[in-house]
Amino acid sequence: MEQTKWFERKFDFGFTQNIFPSIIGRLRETPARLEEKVKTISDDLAVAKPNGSWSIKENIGHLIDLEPLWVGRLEDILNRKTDLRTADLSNTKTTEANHNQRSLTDLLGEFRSIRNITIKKLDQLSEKQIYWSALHPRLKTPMRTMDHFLFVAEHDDHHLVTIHNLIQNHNR
Amino acid sequence: MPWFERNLKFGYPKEMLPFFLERLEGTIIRIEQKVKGVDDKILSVKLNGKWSIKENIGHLAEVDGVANKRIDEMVNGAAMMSPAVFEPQDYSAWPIAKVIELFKKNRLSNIKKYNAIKEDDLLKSSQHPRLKAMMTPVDLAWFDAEHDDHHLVKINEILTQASGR
Repeated sequence: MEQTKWFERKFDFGFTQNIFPSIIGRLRETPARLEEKVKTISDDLAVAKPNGSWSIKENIGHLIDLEPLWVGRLEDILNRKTDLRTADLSNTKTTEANHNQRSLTDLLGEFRSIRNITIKKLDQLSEKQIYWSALHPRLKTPMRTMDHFLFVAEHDDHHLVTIHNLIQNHNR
Repeated sequence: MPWFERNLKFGYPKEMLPFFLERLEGTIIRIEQKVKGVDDKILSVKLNGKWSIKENIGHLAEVDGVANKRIDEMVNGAAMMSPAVFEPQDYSAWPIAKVIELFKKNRLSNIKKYNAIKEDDLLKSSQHPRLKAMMTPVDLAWFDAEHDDHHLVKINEILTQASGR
């Protein structure tokens, strides 16, 4: 089945209820979902790049590469900036990082560790701060802290599905 | 926030289903990791008379039973889906492995069913009996993923309170 491409995703940031605890829960447990997904894959599959796409290791590495951006944008909101910092939409960091040279254990460990640091920051936010916002540079829409981290949780899912597809296609 | 007070919007495109199924499948490992190594007393305790951790998990298994029926109803063109009727067991008395096994069985069965739906049938909708909103199978998958998250938060709260974390 066709699936929505990340840059074509539509987001509804119009909700007003505080669902931040659920969002934090999703973010906290992405490392567990990721580890479960790749625990039995072969080394060959972990580095395979079908049709030049990112490998499984590169998808995990990409999540590591983006975590500073997510935290940086949180800082932008907390510092009451009008705009969130921009992302490198060409993903140069991931392309040039050589994630395929690293072991899966190493990549998963780093992601878990860097995500835990983010979660600690989120756990300390006040309810007021969850509703503070700044403008997203690509979507051109105000994003509250809660929206921003819903966006991150959705981005995690996007890459989990990509990894799922890489495994499924390899096993066919 | 009480689940019944959540404002929910539907109308998701069918191309979003893979992401919602990923979330639904991910709930299994999220639950397994949460309860791993936790004392059975904590898993069974009903703080302030509310559901125990095992009851929260058992509830998710029951909801999946309802969802399984509702998927068929939507695909078969029913005007309205069946109401959520539950037959709760005394899950707190069960070993945690048995509760998780039930949840896992129901969840994997639903995911298999979702994956077997023809693309055109993903656009079919029926009315949700409580929300009075039209829902497609894609909407139901999202709805259940959000519902999972709600109960995972509840489980976390119990773990924090009962274990003094």
